[in-house]
Amino acid sequence: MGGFILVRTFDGVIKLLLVSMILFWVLVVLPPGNPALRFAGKTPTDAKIADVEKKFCFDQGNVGAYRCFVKMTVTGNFPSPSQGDANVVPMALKAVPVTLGLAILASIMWLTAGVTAGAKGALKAGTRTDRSLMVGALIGISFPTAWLSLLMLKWFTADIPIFPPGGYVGPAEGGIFSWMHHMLLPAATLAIVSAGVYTRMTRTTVRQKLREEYVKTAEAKGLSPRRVFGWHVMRTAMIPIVVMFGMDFAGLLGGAIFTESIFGLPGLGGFVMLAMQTTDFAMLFVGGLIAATFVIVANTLVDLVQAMLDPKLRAA
Amino acid sequence: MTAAGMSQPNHAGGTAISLPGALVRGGETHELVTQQSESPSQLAVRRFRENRVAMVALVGFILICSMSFATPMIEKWAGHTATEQNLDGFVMRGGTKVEVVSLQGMPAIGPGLHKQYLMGADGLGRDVFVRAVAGGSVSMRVGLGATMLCIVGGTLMGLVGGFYGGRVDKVLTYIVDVMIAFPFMLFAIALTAAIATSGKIGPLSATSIWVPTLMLGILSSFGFSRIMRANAKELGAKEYVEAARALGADDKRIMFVHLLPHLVPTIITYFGILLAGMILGEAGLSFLGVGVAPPTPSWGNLIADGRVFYSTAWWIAGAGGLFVMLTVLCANLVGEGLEEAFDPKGNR
Repeated sequence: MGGFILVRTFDGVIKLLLVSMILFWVLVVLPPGNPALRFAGKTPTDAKIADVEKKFCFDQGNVGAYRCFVKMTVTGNFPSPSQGDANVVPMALKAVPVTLGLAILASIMWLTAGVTAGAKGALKAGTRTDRSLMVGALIGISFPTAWLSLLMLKWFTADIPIFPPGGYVGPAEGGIFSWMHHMLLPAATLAIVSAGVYTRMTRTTVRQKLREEYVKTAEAKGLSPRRVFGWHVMRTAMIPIVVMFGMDFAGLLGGAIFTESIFGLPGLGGFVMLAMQTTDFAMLFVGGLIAATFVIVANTLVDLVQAMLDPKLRAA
Repeated sequence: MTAAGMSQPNHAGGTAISLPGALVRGGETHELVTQQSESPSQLAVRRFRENRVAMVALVGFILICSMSFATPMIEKWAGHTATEQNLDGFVMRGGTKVEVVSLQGMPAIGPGLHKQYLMGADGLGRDVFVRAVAGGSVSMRVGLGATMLCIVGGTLMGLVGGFYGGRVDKVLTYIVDVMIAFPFMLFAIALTAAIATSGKIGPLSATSIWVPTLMLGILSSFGFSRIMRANAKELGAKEYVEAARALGADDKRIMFVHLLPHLVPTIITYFGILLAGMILGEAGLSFLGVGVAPPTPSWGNLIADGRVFYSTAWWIAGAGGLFVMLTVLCANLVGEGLEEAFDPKGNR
């Protein structure tokens, strides 16, 4: 297991380097013209451009500049010329807990709803309950997140004002209840959009597992239905769900852009939106890299968890 | 001398059975019962047609499509184009003159059964219904184009990787792994920010609808190639591939003549689901301002236009959102129907 972890970690670092290269290529090499001009902000002076050229090593060619970028990211000091040379790394890191909280709250909601509904559908396959659950899941999947966010905002902050219309209060400043009050609506929005996928996936895998021979054996042994379902069916059915969950959760950390920008949450999505609106290339680079890091870390974790859950994979 | 009796499709769930036909041979009459089997594609078509939900969804999808492509006619019927503004005009509503956009710049005309402004007006006095219809043709074009790109790119990558295996496969799989680690929306934002500064990327202008199409299509093809790779790998190990090779077929011929046709059912199965994803993707990109460039209407742009008026003029975002939702729902249901129709384990 130790070797496996080491290999996967090394692999993750290499992937992160490749992602950073692609990001660098998109932001620096691909667009024509002087990159210093792009990084220097909206109305740069000549002195500023020269300063940026030096700071980001654009005068040393693409390879030199890339080395500079990596060094600045690793040391955690990445200045943004269009924000008065403020360091953007702490800005981005400050946004992480906001997004993390949102993602955790949303995923608790969608996992509970999705897996319960999916298991129920599988157990009652073919009945009206099953069919209405599946139609509901499909409708949830079909919602554009942005529109659903706007609808939620209209219904629950304007029509029936039970939630604050956006904004963020950290658990440290306003207490856990105030935090929940601000987070519940955006989290529910994300949960509605995602739960459907989990409902359908759970239903398919549970139905497959119910047909397995070992489930019949367990029943024949005289185990209680609760034990058969909870241990023999659900444990194995959870494997693909865990895999998908890992990826979705990581994706959410890097890109709950719609929900965060509509509900005014200062998370990573908001960070990236701000970067785009101010065309701040330094912020885009750092934000993109942090988001990709989440995906790669989650990928590695998913592999490990999968290996732990599945004895066949553990040996490999 | 064929035994083609009165072939009649049997809708009760069996295969098509040709009824007992009389065959005259040498003066004798034999009663013949032949079981005429359906080809797999015939079976799939029949199964799909028997799936009522999928058929309704298909009809709905075709309706939305044809409405979108009839944009010029609908513009003529409503009396204004999708981009025509009407900032200080009036319309008659219930016998009184109502201004289209209030002095404060708020859209004042809501949806109602009128030829003009069927789904209300937006902040610039444009007809939301006409914009939704015209936007449909843009969103559909982006969605269909991106789906095709994704299928072609993903199938090529998957076919090559799955067929050759070894080092080629390893390199391709690695590229796919890295590209998947890239958060899609972030990539789109970074790319758009990068090309917006120069206004051009290669031969494309930054405002062309090809930009979101290419972005969606290329970036999603990596994920799709994984599915195709698994399929191609499985097929590549079959005996007929060996047989073809023994007959002297080269790699290209085996891949495109012997393997590709077997991938077609999988591709068809994923078509609806991919299209649904692409239409949602367009809406997302345009909402963030990195998709279809305004003032060109698209469903995503409608949601974006309605953002500021989310509680007062809900119909602007509502029109875009509702059309996206219905189209995606239909595409998903059709995709599901196709999946069931092509399922080799499904009942005949």
